[in-house]
Amino acid sequence: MAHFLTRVLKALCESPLRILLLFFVVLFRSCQYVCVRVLRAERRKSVSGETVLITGASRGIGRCLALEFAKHGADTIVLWGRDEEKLSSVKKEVEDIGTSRCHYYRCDVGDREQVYRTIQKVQEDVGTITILVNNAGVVHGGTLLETKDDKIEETLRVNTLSHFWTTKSVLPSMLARGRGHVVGIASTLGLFALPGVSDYVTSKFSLVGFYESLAAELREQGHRDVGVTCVCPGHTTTDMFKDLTTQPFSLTPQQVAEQTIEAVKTNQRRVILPRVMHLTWILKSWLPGSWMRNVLYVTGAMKDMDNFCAKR
Amino acid sequence: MGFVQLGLLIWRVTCAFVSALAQVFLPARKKSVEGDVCVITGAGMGIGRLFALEFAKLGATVVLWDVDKAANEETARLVQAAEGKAKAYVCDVSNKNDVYRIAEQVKTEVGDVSILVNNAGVVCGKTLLELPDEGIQRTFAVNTLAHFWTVKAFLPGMLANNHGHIISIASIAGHYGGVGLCDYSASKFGAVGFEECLRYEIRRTGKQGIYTTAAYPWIISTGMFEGFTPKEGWLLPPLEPQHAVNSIMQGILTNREVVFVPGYLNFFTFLKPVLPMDAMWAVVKFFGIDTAMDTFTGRRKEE
Repeated sequence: MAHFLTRVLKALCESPLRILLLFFVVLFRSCQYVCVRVLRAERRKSVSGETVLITGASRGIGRCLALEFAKHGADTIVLWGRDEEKLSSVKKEVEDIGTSRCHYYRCDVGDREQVYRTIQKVQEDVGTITILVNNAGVVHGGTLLETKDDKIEETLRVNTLSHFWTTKSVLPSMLARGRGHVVGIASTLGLFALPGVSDYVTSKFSLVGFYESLAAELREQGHRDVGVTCVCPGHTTTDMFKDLTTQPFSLTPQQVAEQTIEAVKTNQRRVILPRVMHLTWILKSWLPGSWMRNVLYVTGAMKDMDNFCAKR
Repeated sequence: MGFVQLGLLIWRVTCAFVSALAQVFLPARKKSVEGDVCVITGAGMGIGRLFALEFAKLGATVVLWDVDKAANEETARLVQAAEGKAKAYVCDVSNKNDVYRIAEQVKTEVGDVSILVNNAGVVCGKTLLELPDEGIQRTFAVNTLAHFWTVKAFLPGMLANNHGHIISIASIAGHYGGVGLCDYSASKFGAVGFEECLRYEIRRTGKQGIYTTAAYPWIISTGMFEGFTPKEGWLLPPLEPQHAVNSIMQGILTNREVVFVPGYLNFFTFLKPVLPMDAMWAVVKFFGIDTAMDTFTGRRKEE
């Protein structure tokens, strides 16, 4: 009888109490986060002495990231790209800064076997990689029905699956050493969609999901010393989206690189650039779906994508 | 952006908000799908089979696609036993040539397809380092890329007739990443993004007769997520397949764009962008979802 009563009492008390507890934990965590961010009191780590691998490093954000990591004193920087000429000029720029050694490899990240082969070679030549920056990406404009099938497959291979291959190959050594960081450059188009680039949106949404899962997984396994960062930059003034006409809140690749390194140092898991885009994401999640459509129409984003597609 | 545009935006947002609110309180009229041709992928088992039965009950001709021939035939038999019209095709949706070829066959043999249910999905349920590469590629091919191929095959016909409905059965994992779900979550996030894009693109064509519905169900006890055991299972028990299908059907027939099953999961969508990830983690831990995949076995079947 006593046993039964305790059980009933427990069931009665436990759930509301636990929900109350959850509420406090969430509140506490949120306050903690806000305070830490406002006071800039995060635990910071240094990137000096690290071995950094950057994919898609021949131009745009990748190039700026390489230079920025060099300025922050990374020991070795490994550049991956498809254009050796451009890579060697980036290598020269990195070496001119004078703090880090630099290697470059020709690698098409869309090809799984090539990724594994090149990683192997890098690990033989340079040693283990402690920071991985998955940055390579492609975009083909065009409405869904106009986009060719092989372009869709290429976008998914390069933008999404490559992150699986590179992460899978460097993560074991990071976990073994208890030190490392995986950075993925996604896009704000991974948080809300735009018409006219459905394959790109799909690939970037996937990335956001991938890094969220990866962060959860490492956390659950207790690997707190291996960081995961997913960066979602808005429109950046690189060659990639140069055909896009309206460019409110455009970022320079330099800004993205600086913010990315800042995020690595402070172990942020999700970075949305520019910050105001976070508001768009909140509104997109809070308001009915037709709201977002209206914004696209009124701000002319719908037409821009048309122009963008037409120019490609 | 001028003041006129800003005013217009605020007006339209208000309208959208009011109509969305009205829909919550006013029961929407259900549309008829009688005479429609409805393609269902992954119709051999689980909720695909139940969708086939539901659509057939409402008078639609159901076209069943699945890789598993025997299971697919069984669904067709069940539909016909319930006096519905069904035709089964063996189709591997991860193979685009297969999809295009059979889509043509369906168009000539059955007629113009007006409802497409992208339902086929697979899951590996391993942590990133344990995932086989082929498994990752397969997950993407079935859960994400297949949506591209089927939509590309059937959307032109729908646009020409200005009549159609595209339904994507994604998952709540398309909104939240989780332990042991690296590939599944990523592929479902992709499907969610694709659906959102598709919605805009269809809207932009100006055709009013084509609708989209995205369904984000919680775990459904069909065996796909066998062994997924959250600690606080009583709070969010696995859905009964029939219940999930009924909720989604209700959404489809009233042309809703987004259906969460159970509906209150929508609440977490509001939380996600405003809560820092640490706080969201506390919520996940509370439900015990962090360790739920440890006991995952999945659907054990011989490939």
